[in-house]
Amino acid sequence: MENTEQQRDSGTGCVVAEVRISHSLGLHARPAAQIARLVSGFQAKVSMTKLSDGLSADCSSVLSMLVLAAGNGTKLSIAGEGPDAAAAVECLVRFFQDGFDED
Amino acid sequence: MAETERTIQAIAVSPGVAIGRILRVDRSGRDVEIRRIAEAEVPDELARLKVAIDLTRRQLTRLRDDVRDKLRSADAEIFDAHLLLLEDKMLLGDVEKRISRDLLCAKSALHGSADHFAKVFEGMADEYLRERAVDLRDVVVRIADNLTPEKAVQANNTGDRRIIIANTLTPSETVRLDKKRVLGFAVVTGSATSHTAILARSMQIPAIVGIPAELLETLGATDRIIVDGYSGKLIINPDDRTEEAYQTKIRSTGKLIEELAGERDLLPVTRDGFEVELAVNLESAEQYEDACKAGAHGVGLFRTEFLFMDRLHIPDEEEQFQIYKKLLIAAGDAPVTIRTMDVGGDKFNDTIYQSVENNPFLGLRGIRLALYERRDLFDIQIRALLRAGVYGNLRVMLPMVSSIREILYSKRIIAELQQKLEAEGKEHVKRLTLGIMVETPAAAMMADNIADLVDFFSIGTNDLVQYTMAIDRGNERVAYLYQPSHPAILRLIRNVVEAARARNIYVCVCGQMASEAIFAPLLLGLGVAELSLAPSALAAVRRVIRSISLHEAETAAEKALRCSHSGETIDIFHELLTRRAPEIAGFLD
Repeated sequence: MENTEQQRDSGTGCVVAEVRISHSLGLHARPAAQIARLVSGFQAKVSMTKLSDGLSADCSSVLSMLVLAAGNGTKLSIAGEGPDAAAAVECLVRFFQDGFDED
Repeated sequence: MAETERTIQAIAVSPGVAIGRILRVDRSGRDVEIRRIAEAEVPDELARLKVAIDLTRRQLTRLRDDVRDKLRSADAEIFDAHLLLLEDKMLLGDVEKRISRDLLCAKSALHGSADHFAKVFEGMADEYLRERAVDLRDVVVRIADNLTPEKAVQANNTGDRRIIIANTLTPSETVRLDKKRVLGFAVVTGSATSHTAILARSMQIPAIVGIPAELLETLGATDRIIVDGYSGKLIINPDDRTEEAYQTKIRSTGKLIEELAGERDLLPVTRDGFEVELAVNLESAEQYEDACKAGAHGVGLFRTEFLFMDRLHIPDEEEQFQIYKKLLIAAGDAPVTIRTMDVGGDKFNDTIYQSVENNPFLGLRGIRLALYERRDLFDIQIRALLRAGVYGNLRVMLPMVSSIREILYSKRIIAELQQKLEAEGKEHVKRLTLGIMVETPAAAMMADNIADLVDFFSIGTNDLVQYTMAIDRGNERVAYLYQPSHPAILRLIRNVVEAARARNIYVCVCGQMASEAIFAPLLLGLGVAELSLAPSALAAVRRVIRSISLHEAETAAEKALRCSHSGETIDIFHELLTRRAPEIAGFLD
């Protein structure tokens, strides 16, 4: 967690973190699918927003993430809202840090 | 307009003559015109979409599991991604909006969404992401292919009845044809004994198969055609004289059919006093009433796989129990022979069992599939049958038996389920009348051993011919070898009859052969006293039975058993038919 900051806004129960995509193919179908699957394990509603143009996507929808066209190096903010938002966001942050956990 | 008349020889699969304009049914679903729906149709269309998505989910799950077993798990994840796309809120939201707001049919809506998102992807800078349009398109095409074709056929809202022209019609598509809108059909692939043809006969829709594929491109909606389901002829843009001749044929056939219908209460007794049992083959319990009107005595074959055809849901035990019970009560004392689900081959693999086999007819079908792949469904069906059996004269038969082990295993399952029902305090039959379909050469050859284990045999000639002659009955290039009157088949039937006589059990023939006027005397002559036919064939076969004597049928059959090829046996029985029932023989020419 050294290079990301996770912030909790205690008023709304919203947790936000920033990540950077480090995978030559960008956020492609397979990691998008994995993100959707990871998110489905939490109650929190999780979304991601591209810092460059402000476009955002619902992390439970593979298609909406793909539509972001987030290539390698894209910076995203991930926001979770709900009782287990902190855990959900942390889980996604780790997934991005591990380079989508692929061979 | 004044095109010249053209005649094409195809293969007749369902009798009757249809004259009219064509309706092309395109199964690929791509490049179809956009179809709008009425607001009232929206809920139906959304339900259709949901059914197609459910089916696609099962197919993709199966594919993923297959791939995971055979390849790397990373490759299987591609299908996981497809599965997620299938559930994707953004995609489904968009498709549903196109149905409910833009009033498009499900297919048009799916393709509209795919086009929309494909444009978004294609505009992306990243080449990899640009290609995601392909994944999306793949999923959408799968869903569109899984939409029931019902509405496509009903899309004919011009009001007039049409003749369907298609590359192929699957059994499930055939049963969904709306008889009120369909005059007949002509398709490229298939054969006289494909299940599609069987259905056409049972629905009494004239049909031919084996038309040239290029007709699909060249025939237009304004072309008028005649489908001759007796001779297999397809006549394009007939001139007045041809059409008049066919109208005359339709009238005279109608007259004979009317005359035969008047005989429905006469017993099917030969001239020398031998009474034959004439039962019917059914696909649904609703057909029974009509079959009774045609003079049927009981049901010789109830094809339960058609209960599993609807993709909406697989009927549970209670629902099946009610269906069987209703049929048994309707039949009263008359026997009702229910065949456990015979899925596989060309029937409904998609709902029950999704896998690609190189040789589906030699693969997991019938009792094999029931015992080793879908025991869950088999158990439910047997429970429903055991419970319904107390309401009438039930006989249960197992399809595609090729080994005695399959019978023993089935009997053990039946005994276990009886014990369970007993423990649950549910009323059920204690002694089930159980038989097998004899449709593999193995079962026919082993009939004497099998006869010790069962109460009856029912010979399914369509498959027996296919497996004995080693021909794919859907392959029009070897269709000429489909010869029910081949001496090899007659000898197998004779073997089964003798085994049954020695053990005092009965034999029925429920294949297409029993429905053909020329073969009824042959079967009687071989010692078969029970025939189960398509309801449409009852009248003609009854007339033939009443016209001949058992003695002459036996003499002819003895002669046929010594023939070397099927042409000789056909000659023998054609001669008999022409002599005794020339009006029926006239149908065949």
